[in-house]
Amino acid sequence: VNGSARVLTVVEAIASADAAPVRSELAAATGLAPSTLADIVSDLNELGYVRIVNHRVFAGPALARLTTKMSGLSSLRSQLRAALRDLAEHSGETAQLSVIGHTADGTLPAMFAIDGVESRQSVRCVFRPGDRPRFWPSAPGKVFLALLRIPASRLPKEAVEQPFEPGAVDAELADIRANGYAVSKYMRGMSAIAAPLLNADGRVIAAIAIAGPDERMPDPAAQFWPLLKSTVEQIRLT
Amino acid sequence: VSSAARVLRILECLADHDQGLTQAQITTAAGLPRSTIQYLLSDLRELDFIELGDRRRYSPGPAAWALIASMERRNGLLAALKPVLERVSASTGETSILSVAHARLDGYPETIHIVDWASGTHAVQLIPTLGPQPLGTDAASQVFLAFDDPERPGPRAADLDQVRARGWAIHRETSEVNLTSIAAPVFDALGHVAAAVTVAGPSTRMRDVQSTIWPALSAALRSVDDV
Repeated sequence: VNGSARVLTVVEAIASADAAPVRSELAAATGLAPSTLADIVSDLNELGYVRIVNHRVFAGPALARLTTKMSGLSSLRSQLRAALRDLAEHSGETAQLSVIGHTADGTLPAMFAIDGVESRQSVRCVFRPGDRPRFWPSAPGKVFLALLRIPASRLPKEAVEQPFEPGAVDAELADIRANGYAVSKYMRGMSAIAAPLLNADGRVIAAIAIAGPDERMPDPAAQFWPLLKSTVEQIRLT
Repeated sequence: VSSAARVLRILECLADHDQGLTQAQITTAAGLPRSTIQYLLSDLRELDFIELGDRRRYSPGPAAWALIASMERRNGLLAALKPVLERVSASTGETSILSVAHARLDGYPETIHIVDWASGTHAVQLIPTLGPQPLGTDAASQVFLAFDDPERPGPRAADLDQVRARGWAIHRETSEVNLTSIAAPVFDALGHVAAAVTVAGPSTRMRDVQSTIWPALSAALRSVDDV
């Protein structure tokens, strides 16, 4: 693990913590040695990226400034943010946007949940920024597999959950290409429907999904495909 | 220069340029040796914090977007109240400031943090410094104290009762410049004070706050539906 990775792991842990952690909690969350962690926190404090109040480590003004500036970079992002808000509002469920990271050596890239708007219902699917779910059988993962035409036989073990039958998977991926959406059911009590966002060249750049508890989503396609379809069609990718 | 400083410097450079930057441009902007930039870019790319796009330009990648989403989520309050601050400043012409009392984690507020502000319209106006300050006698501190848990041990100043009854606090600063500020609470769903919004300006412009500033502030705060 290199220096950059350690620093950014600490920054991510601080940003995603529900309450400001103390150093020992941060060490546990990041898996770093307490002394390494203390050095990084002290560097971040000096840079204004964190603030330490009563031994608790808070996200600092420099981190807020960095992320605010970055979020203003992309008009696509604000457009998608509005789409997620609409989807969550109209479906009553959680809407979420996933993209795939770079691929260093031609192997399967990582999938990231990068933005989401949660349902307002008390029982809901929780959005966790930076989550890296497995490709199979998550609905956005299926969308990427289908549109990137990655055959089931090429999927590494870490990318899928069992049971996994390559023949059936390839058939479902073909259906997804034909239908324009993917559905996942009964993943730890959660069901979802996802559709691709394509750029001008027809390349998939993101997947947008609606996810909720099984009880409220007995038939994700019948319930939400028209809504998801019209939302995706209104997004203008430049 | 620490490892943290170097890697964050690169992200800061990218945050300043909406068209992305080439490796050469990042080297110039970050002021770091070329070899350092090269391995940092490779690390950041491996971590999906940046991606390499058209015309060999680097821009923030998926892990950076996830970080932004995390920060926005924890700053839901900031996002919800940003328009309120802007509305208050536009209608009063004065600086408006958002503060939270962070140390609620270990019981009672001890420090307040200025987390956001919106600029007024006058040439002379208060420019606040973001960050922590001790809980004191300023208007925002009074709000946190007045609407805090009434069971809180220790003496409570009598005029906090007045703050509670009236719904807002006032403070007149005379040490440096004549500054007047008034603050009001924003409550969360459980009725706790989630934040305080302060309007501050030179005392010469803040004479009759009850009939000038307070109506604008309370109207804007009423529009906050769900924090």
